[in-house]
Amino acid sequence: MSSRGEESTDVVEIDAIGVDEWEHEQHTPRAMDENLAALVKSSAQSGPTRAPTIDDGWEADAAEPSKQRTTTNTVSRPAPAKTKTKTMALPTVAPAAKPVAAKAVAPKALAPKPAAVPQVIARAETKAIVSPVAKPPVVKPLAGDEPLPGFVEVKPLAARGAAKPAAKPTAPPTERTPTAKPATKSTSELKPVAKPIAKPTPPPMAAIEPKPVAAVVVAAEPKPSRAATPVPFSPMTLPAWPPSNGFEDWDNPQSAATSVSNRVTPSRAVSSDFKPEDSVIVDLNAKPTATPSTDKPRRPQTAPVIQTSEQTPSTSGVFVMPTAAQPNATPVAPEAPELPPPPVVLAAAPSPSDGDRASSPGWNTPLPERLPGEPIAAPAAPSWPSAAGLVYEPHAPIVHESAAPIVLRRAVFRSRGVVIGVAAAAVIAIVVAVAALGSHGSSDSKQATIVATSASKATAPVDSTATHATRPGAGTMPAPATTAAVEAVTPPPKSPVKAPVATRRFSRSRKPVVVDYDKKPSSPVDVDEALAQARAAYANGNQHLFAGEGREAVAEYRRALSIYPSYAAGYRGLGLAFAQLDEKPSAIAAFKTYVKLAPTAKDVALIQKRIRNLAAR
Amino acid sequence: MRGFLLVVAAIAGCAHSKPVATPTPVAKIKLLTLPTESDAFPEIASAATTALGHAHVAGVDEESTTKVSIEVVQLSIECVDPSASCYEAAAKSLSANKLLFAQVDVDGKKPKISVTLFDRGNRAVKTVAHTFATEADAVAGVDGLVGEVTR
Repeated sequence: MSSRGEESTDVVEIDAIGVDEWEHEQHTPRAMDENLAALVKSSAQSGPTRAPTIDDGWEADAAEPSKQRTTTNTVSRPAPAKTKTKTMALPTVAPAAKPVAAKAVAPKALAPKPAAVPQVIARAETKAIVSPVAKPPVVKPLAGDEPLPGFVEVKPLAARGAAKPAAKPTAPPTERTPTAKPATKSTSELKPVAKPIAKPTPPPMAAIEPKPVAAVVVAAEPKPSRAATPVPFSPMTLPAWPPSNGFEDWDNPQSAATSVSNRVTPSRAVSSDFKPEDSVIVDLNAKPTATPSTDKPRRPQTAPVIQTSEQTPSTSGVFVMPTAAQPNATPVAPEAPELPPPPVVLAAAPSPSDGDRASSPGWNTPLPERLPGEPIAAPAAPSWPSAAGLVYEPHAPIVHESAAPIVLRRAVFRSRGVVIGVAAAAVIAIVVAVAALGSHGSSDSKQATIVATSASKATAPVDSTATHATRPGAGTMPAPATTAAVEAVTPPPKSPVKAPVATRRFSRSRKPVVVDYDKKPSSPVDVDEALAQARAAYANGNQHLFAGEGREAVAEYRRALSIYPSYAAGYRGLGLAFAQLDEKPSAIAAFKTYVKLAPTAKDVALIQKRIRNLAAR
Repeated sequence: MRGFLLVVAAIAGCAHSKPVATPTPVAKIKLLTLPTESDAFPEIASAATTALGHAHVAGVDEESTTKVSIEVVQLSIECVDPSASCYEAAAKSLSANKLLFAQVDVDGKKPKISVTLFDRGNRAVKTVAHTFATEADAVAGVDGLVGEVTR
């Protein structure tokens, strides 16, 4: 380094070559087997020699035995700069050596190893792999042996792994002792490395695992600097960097190619005569302003001008279709003269021959300006706005409609509406009436049902007689014979439509159980004729009972039950009557039936008391 | 003149004759005595029924005795409450103006005798009740109770 001057310490030898050149020349020198054997032999005899480099090869090392060089494929870079260099060494020295273990070690920790060339290197294949695209600088061998920071050093395992028997070279370590003194200049970084070499102990390279690896691939990835580093000598002339002919450095953040700020598409070229005041400003929020009148002549008028008293002269062709006044249009104020009373129909309006114009103060048709020299029609008499403005044919006869048809039409329309309304009301009324009739009919049908039910109640004795025959205590009840003739005429029995309020269900019959305790005067049950008959029979039984006529009472009670089997009071009366007759079993059975039918009746307690008394007797 | 005659005729036609007062039949007051029944104290019941049969109530035109007790009547007419309305219903069912009846209850183990006189006309219920120490006392004292009610 010292031979390169003062700047040599930080200078990197970069030989910028082309890709093809690099591929052609920068191949890894390979030593033939016979040469390698000779090299090994000579190395063992002559001591440490300079490690072969990429450039000089094995032969060069042999030519300069005095210089001790590292075995490193060295790529020197300036300290601040970062290069990306990968170096691979594939020694095949130790057959027991483990596969190559690549480790990335900090350059500072590895590079300053001025270790002697291992004498046992049988074959070292070193190759610098540098991306050709980036045109890496060619590494030139340093004049000195002092590596620089950022060096990449490839060390055979034997160089540092002496303690490892697997990677240990065949040469004894004692042979390397004389070579412990490095021939290169020792820098502060090289000193600690040189020391372990002198000792047979493994070097204190903590960064490297003490494994028997054949080689360590040290990959330092310094970022290459685009800045042209002054190179003392260069075999090739580096082109100017960056090139000025439209080169865009994509890696340079400051470059225009990568700078975001520079990515803005440049605007179109503005003409030289452009002035800022000529720019058109479009203000969407601006209110429309009146278009300045131009002095350009209008087209000649091809139609007569209709001029009214309320409007400025307007263009009127054959048809004049007045339009509604625009919101922003200035309404034309009517003139002072009072208008005649508004005509109802068009026929009331003056004829077109009178110069009537379809215009009114309410219509504000934008009118074109009159050209100079254009004839102006005579002002028309004021007229009331009418429908005549819609269609106006000056020369064609206007078909006037008399007032009567229009009025008639209006009346017809009105009458139609009235008729429709009346019809709708009628329909609604009919619907309501039908609904009412339906409900009324349903009530009638209900009534009919009730009547039928009442009639059917009369037929009940036949069926209920058989039922009573099976009931306990009712075996002696005779079936009323008077109802036999009635049942042939009466329709089949039907259950009552509406259940009475004071009724209770009984499983033996579908008819509701009636207890007069709960009856109400307006109860529908009262309507039931059968129930009424049953009550009547029950009342007769009571009279017989009060009179002490037990048998008659029993008969009446049974008749009541035959009319209406679910009339629970009949069973109670039977019990009382049988008790009066001193027929305890029948009385008890009747009472129990009553309690079963009306368990919640008010007199249940008294009935049960009587049952107990009868049973106790 | 014609109008005047028409008015007179109308007045005469609209005017109705005064109803002839016919003598209404006077309703007889019927007193109905109801027998007393008691399964626990049959003797007292019997004594009470006898006592009621011998009772004299003022203002009564007819006196009769029913075959059933007041309890049976109330059961038959489905009105078992000891109220004026139920008594009225019972009297109506029995076609009586007044009811006289006695009830024997058990107050603990002592007989309790209640004698009631119900007047249907004014719906008055007059009840005298007394608990006797023994059944014999009740039998002996039932007359006094009936007399007290009918007094």
